[in-house]
Amino acid sequence: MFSSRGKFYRNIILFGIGGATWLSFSMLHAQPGDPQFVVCLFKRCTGYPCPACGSTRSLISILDGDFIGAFALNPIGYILFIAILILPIWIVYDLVSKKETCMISLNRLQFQLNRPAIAIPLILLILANWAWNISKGI
Amino acid sequence: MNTTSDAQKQRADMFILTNSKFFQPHLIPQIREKLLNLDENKWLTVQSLPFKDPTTSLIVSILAGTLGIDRFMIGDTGMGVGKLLTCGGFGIWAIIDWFMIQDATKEKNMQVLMRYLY
Repeated sequence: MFSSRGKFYRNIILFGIGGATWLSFSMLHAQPGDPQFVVCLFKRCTGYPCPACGSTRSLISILDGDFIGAFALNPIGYILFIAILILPIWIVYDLVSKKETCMISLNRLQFQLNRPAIAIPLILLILANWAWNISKGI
Repeated sequence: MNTTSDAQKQRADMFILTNSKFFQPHLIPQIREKLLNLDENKWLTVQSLPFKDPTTSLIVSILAGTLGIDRFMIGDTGMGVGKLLTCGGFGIWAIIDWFMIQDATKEKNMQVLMRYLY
């Protein structure tokens, strides 16, 4: 549960700025899949991709309009794409109107995610995606 | 009257002694204060509450922080998903969490305890 309003919005804005910086950096400089620019600690340490590896490349593919290629790289890119579309507008709206609708909705979503009927299929999906990632050698 | 208050005090101090590592140090006096005024029939529940060990979450954070397992473990499902879907927050959040996770665990424990104290 996110406890305090100020902390929640500060953290999510910092996270958003970090994400935007990383995305613009990799769009401008990094060659896709360049091992020099791997930020994933899991991949750095073990050599195997994590479930989310390839989602930056997937996101860049979506922004370039290559939707099938993006899905083949990593379907998680679509989730991030939706978050990038919705969250900034929502947070600016909340801050301007001094409401906390975003925090309340995310808390509700978290409550739903904790239900076994939803959590178990999602865990299986993530594991399947992970296996796919490893077999693709992303 | 006096003896019950003594027993109450002893029980509260015992609780603090055995459980102080689960909470933030600056909250300990406040917890003790609340325990001294705690209802008799709530004691058993309070003593058997499942607190999470901060050291365990630190170990999990170092080993599997990139996958967000540490956040899932302490009950921060939302943040766990956030970490899982972004390779541990582009690798940076995972490192920040090595230093934050102990405090976050203690905060979670406090929330669990609060539910019974208030």
